[in-house]
Amino acid sequence: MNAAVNAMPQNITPKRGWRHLSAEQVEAFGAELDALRKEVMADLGERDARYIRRILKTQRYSEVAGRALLFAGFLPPAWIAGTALLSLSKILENMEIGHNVMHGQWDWLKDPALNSMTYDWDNTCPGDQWKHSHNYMHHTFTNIVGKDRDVGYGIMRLSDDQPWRPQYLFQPAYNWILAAFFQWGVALHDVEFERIGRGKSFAEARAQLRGIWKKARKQVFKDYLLFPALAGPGFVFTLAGNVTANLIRNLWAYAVIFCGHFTEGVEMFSEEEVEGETRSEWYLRQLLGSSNLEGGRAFHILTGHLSHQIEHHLFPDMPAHRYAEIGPRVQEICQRYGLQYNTGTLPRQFATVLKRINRLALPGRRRKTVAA
Amino acid sequence: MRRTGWKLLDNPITRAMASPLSVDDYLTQFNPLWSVGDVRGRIERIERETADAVTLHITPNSHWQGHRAGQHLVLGVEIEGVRYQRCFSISSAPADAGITVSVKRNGQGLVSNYLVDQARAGDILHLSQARGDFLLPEGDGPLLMISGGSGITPLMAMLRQCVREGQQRDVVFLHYSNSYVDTLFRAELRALAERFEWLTLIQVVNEGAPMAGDRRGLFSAEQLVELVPDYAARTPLLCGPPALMERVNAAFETAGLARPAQEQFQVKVSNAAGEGMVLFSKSGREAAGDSAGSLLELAEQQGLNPESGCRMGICYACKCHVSEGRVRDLRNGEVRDVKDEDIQLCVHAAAGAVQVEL
Repeated sequence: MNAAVNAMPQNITPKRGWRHLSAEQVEAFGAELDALRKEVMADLGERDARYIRRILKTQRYSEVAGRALLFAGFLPPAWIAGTALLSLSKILENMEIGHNVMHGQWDWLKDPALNSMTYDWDNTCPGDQWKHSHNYMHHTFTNIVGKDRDVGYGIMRLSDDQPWRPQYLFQPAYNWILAAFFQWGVALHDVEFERIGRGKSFAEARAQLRGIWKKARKQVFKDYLLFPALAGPGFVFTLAGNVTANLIRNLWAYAVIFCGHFTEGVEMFSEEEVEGETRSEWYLRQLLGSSNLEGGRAFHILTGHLSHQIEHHLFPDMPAHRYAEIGPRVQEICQRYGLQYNTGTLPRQFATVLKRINRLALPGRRRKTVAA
Repeated sequence: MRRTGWKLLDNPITRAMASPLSVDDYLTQFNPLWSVGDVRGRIERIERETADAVTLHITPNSHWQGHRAGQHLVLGVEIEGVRYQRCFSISSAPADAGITVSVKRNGQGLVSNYLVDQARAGDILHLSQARGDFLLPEGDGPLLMISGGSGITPLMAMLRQCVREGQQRDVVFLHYSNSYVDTLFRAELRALAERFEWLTLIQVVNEGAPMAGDRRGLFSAEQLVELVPDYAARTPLLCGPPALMERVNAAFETAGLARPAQEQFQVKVSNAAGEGMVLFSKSGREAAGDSAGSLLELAEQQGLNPESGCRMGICYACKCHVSEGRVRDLRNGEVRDVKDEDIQLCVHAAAGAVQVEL
């Protein structure tokens, strides 16, 4: 342990921000995380390969079984089981496979089926656009109001640093529309409609929309035409099963992802605050801008380990199942430095998200600047 | 299932059903050998040849299109979860059921050491189709086969083909190895030489006492004249380590003869450091050219994982688009400017600013 840390009182009550730390302590904190990252990355091997291959197998088998059962969807038990299995497969593919593969977490396996450059997920958002809006924009500028477009997704007010506008009065309602159509919201996210004509050319946006159209029509064709058509007289049952599975996946992904950065106690940052940020300060912003969800092993897998949002934001390209292993160590480091480690169960955390959405629908600011 | 059967599974409907993944992404989960087009094989059994060499008996799936004696393939194997690819000659005759690949431990060679020590029957391998134009010459003219160490494998495939087809062509097989116990296919070679009049086997060993007709030492022009007086009248075929190949080529050139047909598996690449800055344009990473030998190593140092295979310019797996830059070919030291060209990353180093599309 570093001398700077030894000098600190142990188990101090976490405070907002990190300004209670000296520059030296901030660097020591960063060095501890760097060491942790290095340790895990050097240890990657067969165990990790076995894990992701087992997830792949589970996802493919449940998809095939789910779609097959939906062909008998006129029988209620088959419809329910088929829809459940298809939902499970879509959740696994979206969260634990797609999201993590496209972060490059499995590139080291040199398996073409798990390569971030070529993988595209079962989602209406084209992989290459998502990699820009998510991997680059969101993960670099996490919680910087005005830069991280995940703060409000261009349509909502999720930080009181965003100026209020009358349309936000309706966000408690249209928040649920976003939740139901979440994959479409994600698909349109990188087009940045609000920036067209202001720093973004119309031609660029049109090219992106063409990419989304190309991807989305294949998804729509597959789920809403091809598989129902293959069911023949069972068309409606298969269609209903596929619509339901996509809806369940959307609601689940929405709930998990909104709990990542908008729960109570998560901090937002201004562009001025982060100017000239060091790597250690970047770690601090990722930590204080993210929050975790508590649950069992199956719950973590179904969230794609985004329940370990903090660890994911600190180490976005580390194979996600390792987050659960290092979580307690990250928490312990935070405790030593007196830093907030935001965590709670899904119902509790989600309730605070809804509170934020409802409160910020109304004008007014609760505080001036964060972490000053 | 026959090859055409698998091909039928690859149609617009199944592709739309699997979209955005591929049909193979699903098939593979049920049986790793199932694919609509990829060659994969299962190791049926492993035969120990010498203390540090094994022969893998591989049954490929129905996409395997067969090979001609002397050809090689790119073999992909998973080691601790990571897939590695390397080139190996095929040692079986084309008419044999299945294919065999003989592997000798190779110093620090990760893949060869793994195959010798840890590969097991039942393991699945990713294979390429057979490649290469080092082939058994047509006709029935007399041959001179010269091999060294594990360079014997493509020549063994050719010899087995001669036997299998009942060819009676006059073959002198001149093989260089460290010792008798170290020699791949030693028992089979001796048995063949005893059985067939047309085959003359001469071994040159480095250690131990040579047996009748054999020699000790390294290859030399004098030794060639002594052991194979009519060598100039034979079609020569050569495969072995770089040092042996250099000596043989020099001897033939001095004698005013053309170089033997040859296959080189250990390429001597210069380890001259690169220079200039390399930009990997897709990932936005940048690195100093002199921090690694080849562009492939440099890319890997940057955490990129470009596809790669033999790492010596044979298999072309690492071909990658360079928008512009100045590169050095590590095989001959030649420096050239490239613009919008695909180059093999494993045998090129930066010789100035380079922009690689990775």
